[in-house]
Amino acid sequence: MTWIDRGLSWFWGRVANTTTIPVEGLAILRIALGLYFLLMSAPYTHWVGLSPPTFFDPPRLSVMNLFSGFPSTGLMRASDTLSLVLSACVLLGIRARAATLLFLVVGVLQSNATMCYGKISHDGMQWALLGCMAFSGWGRDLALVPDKPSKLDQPARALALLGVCLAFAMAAAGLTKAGRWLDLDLKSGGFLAWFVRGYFVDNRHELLAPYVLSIPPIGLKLMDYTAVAFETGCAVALLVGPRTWRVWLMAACAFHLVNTLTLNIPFLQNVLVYLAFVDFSAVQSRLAKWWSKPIARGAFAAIGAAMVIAHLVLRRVGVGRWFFFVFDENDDTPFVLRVSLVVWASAFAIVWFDLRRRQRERRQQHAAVAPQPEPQPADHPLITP
Amino acid sequence: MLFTRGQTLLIALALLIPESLHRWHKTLEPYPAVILPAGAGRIQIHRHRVRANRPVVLARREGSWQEVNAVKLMYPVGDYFTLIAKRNFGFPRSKDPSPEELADAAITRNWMQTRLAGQGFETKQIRVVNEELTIELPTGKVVSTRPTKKKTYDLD
Repeated sequence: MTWIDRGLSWFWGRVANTTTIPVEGLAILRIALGLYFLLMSAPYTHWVGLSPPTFFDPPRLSVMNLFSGFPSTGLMRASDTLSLVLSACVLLGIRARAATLLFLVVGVLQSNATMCYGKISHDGMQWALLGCMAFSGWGRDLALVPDKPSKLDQPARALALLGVCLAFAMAAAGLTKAGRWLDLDLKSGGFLAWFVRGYFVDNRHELLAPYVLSIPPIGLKLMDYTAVAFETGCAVALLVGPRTWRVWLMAACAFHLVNTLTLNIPFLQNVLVYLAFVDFSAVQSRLAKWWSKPIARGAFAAIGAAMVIAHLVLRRVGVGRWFFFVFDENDDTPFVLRVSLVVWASAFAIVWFDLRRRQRERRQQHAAVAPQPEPQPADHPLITP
Repeated sequence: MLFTRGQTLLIALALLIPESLHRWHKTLEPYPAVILPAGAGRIQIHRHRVRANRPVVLARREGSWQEVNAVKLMYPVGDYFTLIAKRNFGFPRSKDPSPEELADAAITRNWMQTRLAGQGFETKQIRVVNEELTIELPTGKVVSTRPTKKKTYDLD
């Protein structure tokens, strides 16, 4: 074994130790992801086809360069419908592996079409999550048409790869900030730059945004340092171990909570990336008893189908949107932000409970292997009868 | 080992190449890629004041230029308004545009006119003004607004 192999073995061993969780719990993540895409980020792209042709400005390295203009409204509506049905298949566990992969392909093509206005929105982690989870075995449990056991399903590899993608993306963003934000100059600010643009240019005035300027300069500078430490710390936490990793995940939820409150940027697409590392197997085993009843499976299927039908009907009558069926970020910013707050606070609590449960289990394991005290003789003076 | 040497190399390339292209030149960023928004810009505080630039859309109503709600005007691509405006709404730049370019520009003009009319504005012209705001800290009061660039587009 060469030093490269030893190094790689050490690296992947550390990553696997940090990220591996029981595969059974991933069914809960699959259901959460299905609900997320049907309730909070529903495929909604038909408007692309209504854009004037002169707005078409695809990124240089995008599949959209194969087109001479925006795809037609009809094509985008068809892709929205297909994506909604695939989201429901993921939610209900109908051939979840294939549904996830197809949803990924259609979703990436749709997102490509929405990013032809001169800017790329960085939602790559969302697609990385789908790509990794397609091979995690998350379609085996709590599924209406479960995936058959396959060599393709390798949960440890799927989660390790997702962890590496997250750590890389965070480190790259953090190091870019570090080069410009880490100084002792109180007369410049990175967080302040985000805030000023959002508040005075993009009119983001919700929640605690009006109070941000009351923060003293040293506080604003500390926020710059915190952001850099948080983002670059992701890779370190991944290599240190499961406990540090979960503390970092909690910090990530808190980070997005603060961003939602102050900058009014919810960035909800990352929430399931963080929750992918939570062990939901206890929840899964409780739901498994309920799942054995045909009526429960029928109700679950009906809910999934009803959500897809509701989207299609509401869109048909012209009021359908992507957030809770009839809302969107342009018209309903306060509602979207308040729901986002609840989601990030819930995610923080979920990771916290997972961390506590792990610690409790660890203590119990230690107690089980610790040497038991010698039994005291009955006539010991310290023991009262 | 979870991934072999070759697989690890592939993963590293899949992560590093898009990030490197993005850092080299923003326009070379591929999509999709595992990249999170860095947003490493800074703002300078000078004598308790900061400056910000914002584009404003104006159109005529009852004879005077008034601000148009850009988010409503561009709905649902309001987020991209600044970038689209920077590209002159994609109107042809050459003095001798092709018939296709002229036809596309006519569609865009018609699209904008419909939306301006929906907000109660006249539909002959639209103006984009870049304003430099000077903001006092910590009050957040906008102490001055200075137009730095102005461009008027004929829509008829």
